[in-house]
Amino acid sequence: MPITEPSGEDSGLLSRMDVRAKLLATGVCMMAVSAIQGIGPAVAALGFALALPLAAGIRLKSVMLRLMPANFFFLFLGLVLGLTYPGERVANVLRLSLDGLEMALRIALKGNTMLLIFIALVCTTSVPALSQGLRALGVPRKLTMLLALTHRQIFLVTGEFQKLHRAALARCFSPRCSLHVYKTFALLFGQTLLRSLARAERIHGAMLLRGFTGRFHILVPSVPAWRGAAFAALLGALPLLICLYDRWPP
Amino acid sequence: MHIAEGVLSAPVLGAGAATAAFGIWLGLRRLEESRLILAAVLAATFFLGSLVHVPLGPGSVHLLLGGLAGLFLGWAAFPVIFIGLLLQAVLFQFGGLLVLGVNTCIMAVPAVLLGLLLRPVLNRGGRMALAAGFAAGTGAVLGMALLAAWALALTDQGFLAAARLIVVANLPVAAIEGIVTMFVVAFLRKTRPDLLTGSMGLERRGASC
Repeated sequence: MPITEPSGEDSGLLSRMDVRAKLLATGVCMMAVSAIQGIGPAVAALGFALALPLAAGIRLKSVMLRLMPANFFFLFLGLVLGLTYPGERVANVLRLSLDGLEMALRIALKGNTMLLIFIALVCTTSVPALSQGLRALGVPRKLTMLLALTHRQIFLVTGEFQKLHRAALARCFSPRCSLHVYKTFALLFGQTLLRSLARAERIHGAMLLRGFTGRFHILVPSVPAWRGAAFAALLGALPLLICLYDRWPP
Repeated sequence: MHIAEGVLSAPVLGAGAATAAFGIWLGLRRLEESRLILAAVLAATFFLGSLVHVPLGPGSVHLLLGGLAGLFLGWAAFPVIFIGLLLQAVLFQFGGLLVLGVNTCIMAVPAVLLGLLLRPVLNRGGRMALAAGFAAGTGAVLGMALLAAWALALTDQGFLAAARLIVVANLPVAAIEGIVTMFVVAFLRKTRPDLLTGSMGLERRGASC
């Protein structure tokens, strides 16, 4: 699977917002959506969430592709719950459980809504900016540094593995279900790890020589705090209202 | 191994987040700051494991490498696995934000426990070290499947059938993971034994976050 890095430079409105505000709004929206129980309010929340990736400037096809892995899981869950959940049965050949199907539908609606919010608000942020935003919200520095460093290393380690894998394929390595193949994969992993560790130590030494003090600086000017707060409040209000309507209908 | 957003109940999500926060705090205390770059390489390697598909019968499965993470990192596996899962959520939308705590616990708890338990065996060398590698790989996947099943069963008893299926489906993955982990351990014992004995300096005691 190719790794695509969120650039944080999409043309949409959401990508230009303050990262702290986006993270806070994501938390509020997702918690409100997770508390929804009714199918109607869940559909309303999904409608709200569908507008977010468009506002973030993400293409619909890309959104659908990103939703696919989770929906495979929801499909699996729907089948199992339909066949095994206790309660009233629908009169058909499979005798699917009505309660099970309703639960699976609710899970799929809420799950997709939360993913859409996550894609629009968090996935439009570059990982270094995300790391800075988390630090500004009080997440320990070691953890945010680990996030920034891991993100960089992922591309290096993956490149190293692909190089070794290509070399193995050039030597007639043919992946199939055998002990030799598992041993080869283990050696590829081990060798990738060794090479990546050696390079990381060299890079770290070079960074220290150039005065690295454990801080990564972002050159993009930040959005004023009041605009971020207003944005988070506005965005979080609608899912909260839907959740309140669901819990205490008028 | 990820549970998607929207599936688990609020109490399960809350308990998972609290346990993960405690584990991450403990892991960060043990992680030497000057060695963060090495922890990042290990995190990236475990991330890579989820991208590489290993043949199994007519299909293929991806590796989890949780047992290896536990053997290398001990408690520091908690923050490393958390970061790996966060990046998987951001880059591929596997899992999600609210369920991140539970997913971290599912992967990190068996990894850390097996790592702490099997590291002394690993240091004895020979066949015992290979057996420890196999046990770490297999045990971590089985532990993950059981924890995922437990989280589902705690949410709703109606999930029991799905939970059982998850455990059964992961049995062959556990066997392959054990074999691969065993060979990786054998390779690293010859080339970088300091990685497996904890003498690489990733961990320290009594440090602050």
